Amino acid sequence: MASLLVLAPMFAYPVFLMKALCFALFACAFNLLIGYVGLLSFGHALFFGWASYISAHAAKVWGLPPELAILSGAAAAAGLGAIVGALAIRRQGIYFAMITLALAQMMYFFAVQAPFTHGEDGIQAVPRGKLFGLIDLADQTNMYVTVLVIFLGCFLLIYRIINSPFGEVLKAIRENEPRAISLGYRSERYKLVAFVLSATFAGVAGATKALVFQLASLTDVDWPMSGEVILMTLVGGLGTLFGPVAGAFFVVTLENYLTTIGQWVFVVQGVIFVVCVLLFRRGIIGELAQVLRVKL
Amino acid sequence: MFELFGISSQALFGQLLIGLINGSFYALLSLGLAVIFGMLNIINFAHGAQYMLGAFAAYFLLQYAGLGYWWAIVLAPIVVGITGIIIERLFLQWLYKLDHLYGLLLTFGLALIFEGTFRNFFGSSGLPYSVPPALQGGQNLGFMFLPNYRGWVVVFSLAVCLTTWFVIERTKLGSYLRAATENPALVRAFGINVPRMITLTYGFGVALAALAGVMAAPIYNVSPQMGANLIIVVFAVVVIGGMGSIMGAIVTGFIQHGNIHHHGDRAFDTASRPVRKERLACSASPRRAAIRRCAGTARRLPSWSWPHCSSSRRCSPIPSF
Repeated sequence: MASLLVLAPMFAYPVFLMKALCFALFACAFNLLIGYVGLLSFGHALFFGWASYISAHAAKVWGLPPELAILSGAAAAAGLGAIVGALAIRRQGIYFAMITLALAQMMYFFAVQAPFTHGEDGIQAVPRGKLFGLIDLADQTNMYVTVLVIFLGCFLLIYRIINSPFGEVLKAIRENEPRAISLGYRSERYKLVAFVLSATFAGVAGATKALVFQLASLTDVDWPMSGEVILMTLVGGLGTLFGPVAGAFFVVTLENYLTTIGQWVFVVQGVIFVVCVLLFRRGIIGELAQVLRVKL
Repeated sequence: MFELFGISSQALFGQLLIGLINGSFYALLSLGLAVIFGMLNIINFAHGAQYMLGAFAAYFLLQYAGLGYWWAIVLAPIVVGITGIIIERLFLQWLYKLDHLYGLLLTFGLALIFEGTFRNFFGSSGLPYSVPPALQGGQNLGFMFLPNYRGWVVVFSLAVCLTTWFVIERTKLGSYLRAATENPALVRAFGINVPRMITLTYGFGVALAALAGVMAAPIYNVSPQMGANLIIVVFAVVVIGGMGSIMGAIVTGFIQHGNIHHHGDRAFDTASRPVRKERLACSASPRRAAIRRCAGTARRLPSWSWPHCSSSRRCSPIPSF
């Protein structure tokens, strides 16, 4: 996958690839929660969108270099994740989804009203700056390599988390929570840590996206964005390592090529949702893994 | 004319009325949502879209069949309810044995399809629908001015909610329904067609949403995203009222008063600001008390509480090995 992504800019438009990579990271972060802990958050746009606001604000108003801007976005997302997670993990299933949705909407309205987000306009013309004061990110290739490094780094980190003893406990909680508790694991704490990790990675994705597009806007905090990341993960395959990446590329490509048909994009997305839920619950990668009999 | 806390009664009751009107729609929508969740165990994310379909059905009936508001209020819920039944038969019936989440995702997809299609044909600006002639004008109640149509909305939706509650709590049909949610297998063994009952319940819940849509059409515009704006608040209402609790949904819906999502917020300028603060200050505690009261009744009466609410699952003492 890494070599494919390194060669990709030769064949495709780099900004499009960077967008896809940001969403792929977002979907991977989301998958960490639903695929490995079994918690469906309907408010992940909160972390994605707010991290992009904070990093855009940091880069533009505070004049921080890009690496610190992204870090401050991720830190904001982690903080928000800790608060939302502490409230939400007390409930399971539908209730968990509803609480995260409610809190995300609360923060969405805050983003609409707060002066520094500039409401409908968003934070525009965010400078990309110089990475470590050396590499000029205004250059498209440099930016692409940076995004790629961030994505691969986070992807490997997520891979490591999933395959660590900690990840095994998360899977145990997903499969049978009362049993995990009876074995002496404090499931609430594990769930909270997983939630914060997922929020942080979502924040990294959002912060990076703000620098790539030089824009942080309301679209990224609104609840359809939460729906979109669920779609990506579902299409790719819940609980598979490569699924969210494949799903994100699929959905972003689809949106890119279907922009000419206007509002039908929503209809197409809806149809994909329905078809996936009814026929391909394992998703693209999940089905592939089933056919090849390997774990992906 | 009198004054309360230094605010004219016109402004105060005007605000309260807007809250009550919103409350009527919240109550109707969350009632449908609660009934569907109770019986099908599915969070119907398409509920807002079906509310929108109801308003559009009324609009179509007027434009293409020349049938006015009174026809629409009967026909639109039936038509949209039938589409709901088709949806249940085609899609939802395959999901009952799976996790809740798939129902939510599927109905979310359906909502995207409906809203996308209508936005494609009708844009997002909204279409006008006029108040029926019989309900135009208003009453001067001395302390405030009440438009007839808004009075009608409050009274009619309250009547529908109470009728639904009565049917579920006090009739034979309602007792079958409650029994089927407790233990479908046993009820089937008694010779009652539970799958058909589930289908009809979904149709009924959807019809309630469409009814709310028809009633909303003359107040708000008929627009494709009218449901998307409302659905989040309705979820909040259902959760506050207690998932699957019918009375909870009705009471919370009416109490909600648009405290969270006030349509009138920006329409009123400085004059309304003290009013709102005042209202927030004095409504906070009684409102919470009312919710507690209604949650209390839901606990006391064994009637309409669902077996799969989170508390019962969380409290099960024996872990499943």
